[in-house]
Amino acid sequence: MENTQTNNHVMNLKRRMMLGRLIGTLIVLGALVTGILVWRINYQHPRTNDAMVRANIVGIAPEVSGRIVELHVEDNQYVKQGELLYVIDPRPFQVKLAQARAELQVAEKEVESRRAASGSAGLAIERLGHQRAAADAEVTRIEAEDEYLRNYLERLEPLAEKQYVTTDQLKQARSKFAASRAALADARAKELSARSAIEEAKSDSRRAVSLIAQVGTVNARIEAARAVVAAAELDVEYCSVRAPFDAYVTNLNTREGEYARAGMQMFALVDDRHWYAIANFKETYLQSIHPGQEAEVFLVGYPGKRYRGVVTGIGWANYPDNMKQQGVLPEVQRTLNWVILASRFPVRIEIHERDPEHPLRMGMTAFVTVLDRPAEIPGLSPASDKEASKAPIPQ
Amino acid sequence: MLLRKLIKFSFPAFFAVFLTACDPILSIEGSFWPAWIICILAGLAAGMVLMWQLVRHRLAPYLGPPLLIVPSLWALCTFVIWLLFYST
Repeated sequence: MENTQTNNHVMNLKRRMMLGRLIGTLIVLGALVTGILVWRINYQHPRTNDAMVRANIVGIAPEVSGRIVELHVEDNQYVKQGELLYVIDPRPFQVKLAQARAELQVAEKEVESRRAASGSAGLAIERLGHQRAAADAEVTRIEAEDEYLRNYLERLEPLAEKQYVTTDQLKQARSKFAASRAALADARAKELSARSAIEEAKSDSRRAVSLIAQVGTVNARIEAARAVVAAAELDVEYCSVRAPFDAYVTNLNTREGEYARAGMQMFALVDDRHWYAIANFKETYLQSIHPGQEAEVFLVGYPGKRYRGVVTGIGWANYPDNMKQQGVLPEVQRTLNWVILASRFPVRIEIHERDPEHPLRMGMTAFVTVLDRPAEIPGLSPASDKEASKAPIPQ
Repeated sequence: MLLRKLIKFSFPAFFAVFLTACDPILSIEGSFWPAWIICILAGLAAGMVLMWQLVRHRLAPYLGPPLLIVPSLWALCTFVIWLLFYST
């Protein structure tokens, strides 16, 4: 009886020993296998909690300076594209526009009058041309007459020596010839005068034409006036500032009456068209991250809520830690770094899901996991294609 | 009776903790705790429970060197919890 009990006890002990060894071995092997599995999953699906939600921010600044007379939005309000945000007092710009339009009309009238002046200058040139032609003809007539009188005098002079003609006839011929010479000189002077009058008229005509400022079919004077009108119209249009896209108004801390200066940002718009998570991944995981991959974004503000996103790109540049410069020389510090921390690169993940009950806000803390599969989000152009076409280096 | 009530309320509370922990980050009063810390602590608790069971069934002396087995059991529980609740 005692022997049987002893045998049973030994058998139980042996069984327990075997079971113990088996469980011990399974525990060690299990720890190894699950450890490898965890490492592998972490490498294939990189994840980080160093991530934040962000959107594009556009500062809204007026193009013109003036007092705000209407403010149609409140802080944190949602605005649609084209919605009126605020109005700057348009009256000074409307006055400038009216002045510019009046100046355009003046310019048009001036050009019209100069065109008319240019036309009359052309007519004057024509008239002077006729006068010059008449003077030319007169010179020709008097030259012919002068030639005749000179020949007549030359014929009379030998005859006068032989007493065939009277002295009086000779004197008469000489005086006629002298009068003819004087008339010829007068006619030539008139012809020269007509010629210079034509040149003067032509010069006047050219000046009138240049004052019209016509270049081909474009009149520079009128175009300049039109440009001033267009600029004034633009200024009036700039008085009404509209939302350039669907957005949320943020950091609006002013009201009507504030004097807005051109270029000075008054508040910001958060672009609601694109929301991103910027996740800073260690460089050791970048090999597993490619544009176009699907990603899961958890926000700590909404526990349990998962947003689907797509990797759209990995940052190309970080500020290098070891690049300092003192004057013109690099500053190299003496270090003995045995353990070096991995750099992190920002990975941009576009979030396409929207949930009105869980709105996205810039700056929210996020937890991002990049999945090992391409994103299949309807209506999404494959980011990998876009990226591949842009970047010659595969990411 | 008391034990039954305790079990009745403790089981939902226990699972509720794990269900909230499915979120990759546990938020406690505005501070966010990463999954691996939760897994390590839960793995420690689970490892202690398992080791207690092994001791109760008198298997502990035959498992092997305690310096190897105890950390391995802790690591195993930690990894299994991570794989079950946080790997996807």
